[in-house]
Amino acid sequence: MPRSPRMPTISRWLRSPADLFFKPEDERIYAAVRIVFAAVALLNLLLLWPDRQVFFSNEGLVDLDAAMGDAKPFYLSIFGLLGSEAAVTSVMFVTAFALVMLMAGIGARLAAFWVLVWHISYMARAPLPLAGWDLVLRCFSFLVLISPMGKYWTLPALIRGHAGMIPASVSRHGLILLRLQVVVLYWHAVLARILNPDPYWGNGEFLSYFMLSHHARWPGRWVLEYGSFLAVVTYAIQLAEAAIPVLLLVKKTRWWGALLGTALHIGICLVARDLGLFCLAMLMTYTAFLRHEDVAGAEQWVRRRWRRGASA
Amino acid sequence: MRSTSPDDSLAQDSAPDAGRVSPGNPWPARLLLVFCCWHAAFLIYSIIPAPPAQNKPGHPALDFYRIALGGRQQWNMFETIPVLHSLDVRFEGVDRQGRETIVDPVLPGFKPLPRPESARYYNAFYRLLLAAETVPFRDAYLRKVGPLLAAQRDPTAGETWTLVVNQEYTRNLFHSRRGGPISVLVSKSFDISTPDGDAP
Repeated sequence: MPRSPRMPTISRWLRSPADLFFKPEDERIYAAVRIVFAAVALLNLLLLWPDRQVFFSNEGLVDLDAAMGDAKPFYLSIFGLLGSEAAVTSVMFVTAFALVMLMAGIGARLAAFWVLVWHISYMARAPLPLAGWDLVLRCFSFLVLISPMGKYWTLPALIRGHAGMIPASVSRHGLILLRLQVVVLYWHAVLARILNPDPYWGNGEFLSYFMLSHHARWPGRWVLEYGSFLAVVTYAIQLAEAAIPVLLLVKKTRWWGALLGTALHIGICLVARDLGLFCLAMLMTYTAFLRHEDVAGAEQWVRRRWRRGASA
Repeated sequence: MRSTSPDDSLAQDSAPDAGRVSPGNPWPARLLLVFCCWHAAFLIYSIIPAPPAQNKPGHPALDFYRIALGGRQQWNMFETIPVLHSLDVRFEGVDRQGRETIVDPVLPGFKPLPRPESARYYNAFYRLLLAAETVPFRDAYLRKVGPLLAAQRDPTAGETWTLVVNQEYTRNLFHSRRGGPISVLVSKSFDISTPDGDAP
């Protein structure tokens, strides 16, 4: 059979992963992820700060030996060595400094490494108070570490006024993995309900029970009056979770995906108590779906506003 | 990528930190590519949730990778309904004269549980006291609390201490709609000297 000239050769097939991961991408997208990630991780740290002795010190709620026994196969945490109240405070102070450095893009690789160490450490030391956003931040901390850091959207470049600089084109391997991580996050939840069906998600009663639980901001008998409406919302949530990654991945629909995801997570934040950080962590993940024209447009908008402000 | 103005033009960055693979030495690029393919495969595999109640020990190398690099990819949040309407925890002490004392549960310092409940404290105490898979944490907590209570109270009073956990469970919607409260109180107590606990 004559081979079609369009048929890819084996070597071309073998090159396709390289094409996928090493296609050039605007470094400012990575910078947006880095800055927003560091801001949310810093907020998480600040909210943990008042409870640092309760959760991480040897005098607190969570027993060190039990935490070590719970870790499989290894206990990886600097809090294994640094368990005193002063040491815990020092670790968190250094982490806050590292997050500020990461946000500013100064020594960003080293800062990102420490931020990963922090996330692995506190999650191993205190598995009991963990919430969903901790895992989101921990996964992103590793992917930010292996991503190109760039130099354009950094504090030193900003201070120099980007003199003689133009944004670099860098490998997009980090963005591919970050986007894949977001897909896993949503579709794992969707598939879990399909493969292990839960009766309350199936019959639409989930949200009614959620609104009566300790998570709810306004639990009360009023919830019982809106069972049908809450059933519709329960099904809508499941559809949204399945659709958001697809919409985000497709260039033309990425803003619809971001809008749907924002509506979902702000909705959860409004009706639930104390889940605001989960909302912020999830919205942070959407920065990985930005494109060249988004960051270029955002930069031009900021420059115009800056010039207008300076001339006024 | 085509530039339309000086503001959005892009340069091929020569700095090694910018993530560009050096054209001179192909090995860093090859290693990075292999790692990216491996991690992408790991993530795609993670989309499929593990069957429930599967608690088989994994391969140590893969578990190490999960802890150190990949993260535990468990995203089945709210896999079923949250059943608790509220949770309250306190220590109740009774001395020889029958006088009762109440002490708050948060260490260090026996501070009260924050109100309204914070997600972290709720998770911590729910897992500490009610989850079946974290019994070693509960036992260690109760072992730690006994001497601390003894040290901060009058040792001659002969107080005996019990940890009381009041849980209000949300009632079935069908029954709640027919009347009555939306939740029902269930108490569980743990004797400090026998941390295995007893549920009335």
